[in-house]
Amino acid sequence: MMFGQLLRVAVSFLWRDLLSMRPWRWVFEWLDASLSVVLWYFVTRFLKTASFSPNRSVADYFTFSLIGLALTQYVWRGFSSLSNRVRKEQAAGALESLWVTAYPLPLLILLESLWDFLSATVNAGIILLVGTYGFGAQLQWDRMVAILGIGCLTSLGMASLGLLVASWVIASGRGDVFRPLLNKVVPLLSGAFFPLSLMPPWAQSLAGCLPLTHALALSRGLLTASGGRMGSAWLSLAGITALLAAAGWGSLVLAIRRARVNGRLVAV
Amino acid sequence: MGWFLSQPVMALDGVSFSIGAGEAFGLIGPNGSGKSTLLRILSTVLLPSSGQVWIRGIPISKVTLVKALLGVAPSEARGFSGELSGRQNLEFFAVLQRLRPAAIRHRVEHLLQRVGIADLGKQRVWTYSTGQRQRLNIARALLHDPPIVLFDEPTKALDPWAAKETRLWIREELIKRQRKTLLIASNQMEDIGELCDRVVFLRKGKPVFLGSAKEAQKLSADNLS
Repeated sequence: MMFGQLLRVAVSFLWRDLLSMRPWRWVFEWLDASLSVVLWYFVTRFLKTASFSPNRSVADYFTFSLIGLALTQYVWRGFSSLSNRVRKEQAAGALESLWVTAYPLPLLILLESLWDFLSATVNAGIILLVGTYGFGAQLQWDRMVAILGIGCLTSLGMASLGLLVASWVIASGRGDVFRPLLNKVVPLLSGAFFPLSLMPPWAQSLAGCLPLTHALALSRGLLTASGGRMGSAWLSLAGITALLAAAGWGSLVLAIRRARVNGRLVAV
Repeated sequence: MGWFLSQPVMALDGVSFSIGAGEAFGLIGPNGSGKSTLLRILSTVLLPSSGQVWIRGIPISKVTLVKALLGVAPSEARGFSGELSGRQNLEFFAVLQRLRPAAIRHRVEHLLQRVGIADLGKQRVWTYSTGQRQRLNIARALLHDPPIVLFDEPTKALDPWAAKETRLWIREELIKRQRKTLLIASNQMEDIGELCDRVVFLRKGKPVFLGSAKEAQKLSADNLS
């Protein structure tokens, strides 16, 4: 498939979702993201009374949790919306209308999530901006290019996790029982709001398998200028993302094949 | 695990027919007779457990090649974004059908006119009536100008006037003017009688009659079912 064609399809999905989005929804989404920052600001002010040092290299818990809050947008908005969309489209019979087009369905399902991950990136940016300029978080804004790279890899990693869940949804036709669970488990295990060192060793090992864990470590290192050499963290993030991408894609192809046999590709 | 490893159902059994180029062929039968299942197998949405299907000499396992030959109009106009206009929805699906960017606008305008909803092109789809959505559904099936069009219940949920208008349009535009090969699944004898040359009558997945549409009309639905 030509790259130009792929780009055209990707843009057409983004354009469709942009046109479907009402302006007032933007305002409310951004307000929601900003209010989350306010909430965490006051939580961290309260916690200041305790002698809590989440990470020697991070200036304060507010900055620590602000970065966690920003990156969990990829879970709550990106990953969550992908599996939710697939479920809705399967129930409404919309997957059938995508199947009969000229492009492979797994690709179209993946491209459908572009908008949500773009939106997650915008929300993450707003959270970091409000945190920095509204509440005095100390972030290194000159490293934003690297952060965008982390955002891209995290998007791909979480999208791949979304494809795994979508595969279950398509093959079983039984709803996405995993989505609500993973919405809580991924930020919990990745140490979005508290240091991983507080968790039991087995949970820390499990955390190493999640892309968000490495994305958070990298972002905190880069944004707070506290990280030393982070080559291994980059490698871990890229490696886990590549593994998840292969697993997500493979499982989706198999799930679609199964759904074509048992009839679950159409409305259920 | 019972629901996951569900028992297979024999949806179609012993169905065999061929359709000539430019022919309008009908699939008729009561609800649950297997019409939609057969149509979904032909449109590659479903994989048959056994049997063979060729479209223009191409086995349906060659999904990409077969899909390029087919326009599919499902029984309900699904997959449209209600917040987008009819034109924007068609433009989106035109990209997914690999139409050249320069050709998309013209093709969409042409189809909106052909299906008689050009004046609604800028309106959001959620404001459309069932009949208007059905026309948009047909326009979507024709975007890539396929030689073969599959219709599943083309007049389902339409009032008698809209149904008659839709049948007239299919006959005049697709059958007489464009000479498309049509496969129409319906449980409305009017659809079959007015549009089809030949029909197969399905009952519980098995063919009980294969012959001309006129013969099928002569036999009462009671006799067949």
